Amino acid sequence: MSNVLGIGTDIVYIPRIAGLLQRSMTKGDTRKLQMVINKFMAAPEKQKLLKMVGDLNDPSPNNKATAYTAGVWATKESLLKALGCFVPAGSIPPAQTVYSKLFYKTNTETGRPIVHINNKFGQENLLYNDFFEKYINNKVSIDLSISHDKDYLISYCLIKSNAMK
Amino acid sequence: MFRSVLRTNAPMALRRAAPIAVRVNAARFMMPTRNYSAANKLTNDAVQTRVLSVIQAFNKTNSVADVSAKTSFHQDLGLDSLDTVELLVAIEEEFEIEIPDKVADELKTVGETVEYIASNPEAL
Repeated sequence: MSNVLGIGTDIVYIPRIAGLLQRSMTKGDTRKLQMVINKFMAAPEKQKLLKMVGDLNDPSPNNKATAYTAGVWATKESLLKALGCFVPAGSIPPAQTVYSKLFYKTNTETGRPIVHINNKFGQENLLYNDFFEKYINNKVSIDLSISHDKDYLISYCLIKSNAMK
Repeated sequence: MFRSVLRTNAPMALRRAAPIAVRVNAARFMMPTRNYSAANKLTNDAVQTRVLSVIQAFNKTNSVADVSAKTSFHQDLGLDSLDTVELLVAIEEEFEIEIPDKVADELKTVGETVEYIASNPEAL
């Protein structure tokens, strides 16, 4: 019997992300860039991207920062779709809350992407604590796969029930 | 000398303080407050004009001639979720506000966005 609760996928045209970063970066000022990434990145992801962006006196996104941002965006979009497979629409927190506060992505040393659940989400977002306790906290684990081909990046995720393991 | 003058006039000053203070307050503090709100009260028309300018500056949309309050970002303007992130940030910059996550999810049309901004006392 399957323990898969939800699946989600997302495809990104990477030049769109490059354009978004380019338009958001001003010489020596990360304010607008931070406003943009606040919408879909959690704190560890923001820190990583800002390190990648590096020299703010040269406000042009490098390929690494662009690919990273595309990966995070696609991951979050696919996760939201996967949530929609087993959580009633009215119970899912707003997209930006899911993207920036519930999940975050890291990579292992070999590059395998991993999705982490912010285990303080319920106490940090009391309005959505019921959602978190009922559907997420200690109840699910997530598998994620990301693939690139030139201008495109695709993410695919599974949300699985821990109870069925 | 000043001390003695103040002491001498103190009781009279205190007796007269209340009504004068009321008049002074009315003139100096209440009126400017009302003027301040009136000057900064964004009308729906003014907000809509600025929202349309933001949309027009957005690469995806060539013209706002057909854009009205009922225009949907997704269905009519063809904006997807990534476009919406950028548009929301542009609107936040324009009005110097931060749109909460829940509100951002609910703003589907130009009119809803205009209404939210016009009703937001923080919007400039």
